[in-house]
Amino acid sequence: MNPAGPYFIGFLLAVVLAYYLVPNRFRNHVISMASVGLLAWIDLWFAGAFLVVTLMNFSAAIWIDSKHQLKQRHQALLLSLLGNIALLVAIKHSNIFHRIGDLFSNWLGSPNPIPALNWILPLGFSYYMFQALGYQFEVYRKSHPAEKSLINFIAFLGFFPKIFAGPLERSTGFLPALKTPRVLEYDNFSHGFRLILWGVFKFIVISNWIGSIIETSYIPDSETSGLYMMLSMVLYTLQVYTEFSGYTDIALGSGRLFGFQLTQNFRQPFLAKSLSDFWRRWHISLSTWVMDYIYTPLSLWISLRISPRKWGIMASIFISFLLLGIWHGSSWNFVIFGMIQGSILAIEIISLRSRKKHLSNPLGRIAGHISTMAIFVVSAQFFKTNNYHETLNWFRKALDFSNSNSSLTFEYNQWPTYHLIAILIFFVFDQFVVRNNIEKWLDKRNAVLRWLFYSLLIYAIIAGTESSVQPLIYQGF
Amino acid sequence: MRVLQRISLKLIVLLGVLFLMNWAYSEWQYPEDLEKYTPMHSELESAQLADIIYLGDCSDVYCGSACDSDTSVSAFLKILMNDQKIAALSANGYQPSSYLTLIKALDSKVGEDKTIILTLNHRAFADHILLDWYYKPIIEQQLSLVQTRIPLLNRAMLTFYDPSSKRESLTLAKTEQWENTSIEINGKTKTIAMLMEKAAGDSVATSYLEDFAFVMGEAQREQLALFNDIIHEVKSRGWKMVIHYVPINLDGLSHEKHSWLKDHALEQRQILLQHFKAMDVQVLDHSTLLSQDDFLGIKSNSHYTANGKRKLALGLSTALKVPVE
Repeated sequence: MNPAGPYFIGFLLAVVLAYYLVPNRFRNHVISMASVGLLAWIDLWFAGAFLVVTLMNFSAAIWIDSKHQLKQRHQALLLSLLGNIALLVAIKHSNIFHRIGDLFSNWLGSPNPIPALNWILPLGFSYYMFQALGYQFEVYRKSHPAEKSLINFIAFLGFFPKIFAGPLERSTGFLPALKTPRVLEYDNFSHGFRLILWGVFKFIVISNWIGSIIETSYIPDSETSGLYMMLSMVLYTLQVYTEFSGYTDIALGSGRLFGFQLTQNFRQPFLAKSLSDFWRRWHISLSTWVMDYIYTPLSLWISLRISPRKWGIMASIFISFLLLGIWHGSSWNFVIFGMIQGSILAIEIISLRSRKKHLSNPLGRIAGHISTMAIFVVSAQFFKTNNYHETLNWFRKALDFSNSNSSLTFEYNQWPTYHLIAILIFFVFDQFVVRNNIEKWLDKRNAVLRWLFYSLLIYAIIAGTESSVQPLIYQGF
Repeated sequence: MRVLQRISLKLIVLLGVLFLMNWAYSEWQYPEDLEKYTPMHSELESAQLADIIYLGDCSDVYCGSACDSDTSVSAFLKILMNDQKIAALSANGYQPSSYLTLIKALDSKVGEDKTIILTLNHRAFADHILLDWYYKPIIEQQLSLVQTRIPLLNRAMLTFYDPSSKRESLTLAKTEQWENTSIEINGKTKTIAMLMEKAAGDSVATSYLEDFAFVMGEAQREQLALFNDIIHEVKSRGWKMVIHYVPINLDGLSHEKHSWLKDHALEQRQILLQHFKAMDVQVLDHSTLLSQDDFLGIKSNSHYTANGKRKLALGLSTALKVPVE
């Protein structure tokens, strides 16, 4: 199901209507039923997997909370985590063993004895699984008691606007919000629809325009020039951003319609001065989750055992981002992506002092921006292709400047040129004017200008592209 | 209540904006979109006013490198019946569901004495039934812009139409079904997949099996049902229906080692003729009309020479001029 499509929007409006028609004490029931119902509508297996994870974690947290001694709580948490991780590996990473078997069998020249399992990954699996893991930690830490209402827990874990690709909500924020009475407020409606409109525009229009420009670069054996491929690489990163941030805006806007403020996932990522700064601006809910639940406990544990302390911190950051890479999938592509991120972040830690000196002057800051973007753009290529062989071949081709078709020409009156100009205008507007906060920007405009803006977006969505259909890149995780 | 009032006011303003937007779209962008996304719109307009509409596939339009003339069957028919307005809605890949979609796009109120000539090709029942589910969503999307709705809504339907999901889920199922359908050859039951293995290396046999071999299984009955739907749709509009059973190159199968394939093709022909006779519709059977000289190659899927197309058009014009008893 396309989260920017008419079926989802229609479903959302129907649920919002039902939500405000029922008394407050039943509103979480509406959310829970709608969330499970949506998954079941798409595929019964998705609903089944979600309910298994929900029931498992609901019971496990109550069990953890019933233990009063630290050691017992610790053991209960460990068992709960092992159960979740086993499920995560079984469903999402079942083929990792097959791939390892492939490596050995290629080396030994014998057939791979480990069969490939072709599970269909349930929609939103990684997202609600991580939310569940975070929830277990918070119950263990006594940040809040275990949730006793299954309805509230289903609503927290499976709230349908965020089921496709996050944001990852913390139980410390969302569970209390579920218990707070929500009333129909005009501001929520207004801001909600603005966010949804802006998100749909980014998701359908900008992302599609970029896709139409770069698609030839990714056709195997195409005659595209190296320069065009380089441009495509940069544009692909922008496509990932517009699609993902567009979807996030739809999720945030939908949340506002129900009276919730979901977590902001992007904060001008293209203005990052370093890779660590970048991860504080990109997919914020995931990176902070990794920092809080993997990096922090891991670095505490390692630094007690390794000296000097900075090696422990470097190892922790490397492992954390390697796991972040693997979270996306068990393909070697994602492992390489994680390793690149982890390695660069580890280097940034040990070079922090010298970098601070350089970042204090304008040239240093520009160099920081460019190098950060270059690292992310190159590593994001590992998301585009099916395996690392394809990625390396793609780079080889892109760097082959002996290609006779090496000119980068655009006829001034061709559609790709208009789209490219529009994309650049959008990028400047989004990152420097709106600054990932369309609500605040629109609040400062008068009604006429707001409605002109809405009209432009609506027209572009309806008549500016030939197809709204594309697989949501981050939905696959 | 105040909240509801403000929301209602905003909805009214939104409706006004959409109204203006529709006007702007119709004035400035709609003609260009029509050319770009609905390539058959001018043919559809011609068909609205035509006396005879020819619904053809590649047998009507294809002209490859070995072609000796690019005049199609329908074009020859126009020359032979120049006192009639003839329109062709033909394209590569058109299949029964494409034709049904196109007929439904025609305004039933325009023209009462229309004759619809519908191409019947063995391909509609063989591996190329997959093409049906491949092209149908594309054609449906293309026809979004000419539906009887406000232009802006049509454009939204085009934007939000999802052809790929409809296509992918059906294609795989149909391929597996076709390959595993069993066929009786000389008293032995075999599957098309087994026959394809047997025919490996024999290009004539392979081309026949890929393009025309079928047994009347579930998928094929679905195709027949689509033909029936077309016949019902045409009859309900008070129009005349003629099924044009186009030829395949059976001469190419006349070699002794392919005689079993030729027998099979003729058996399939009988099944189809019997079915359409039972539907009480005129069938112009040209399936065995042409000889090897009228084909561009020896394979079963070879297209027609100019002379072959002329013969087909001549047969059609003769049949259309003679009243059906």
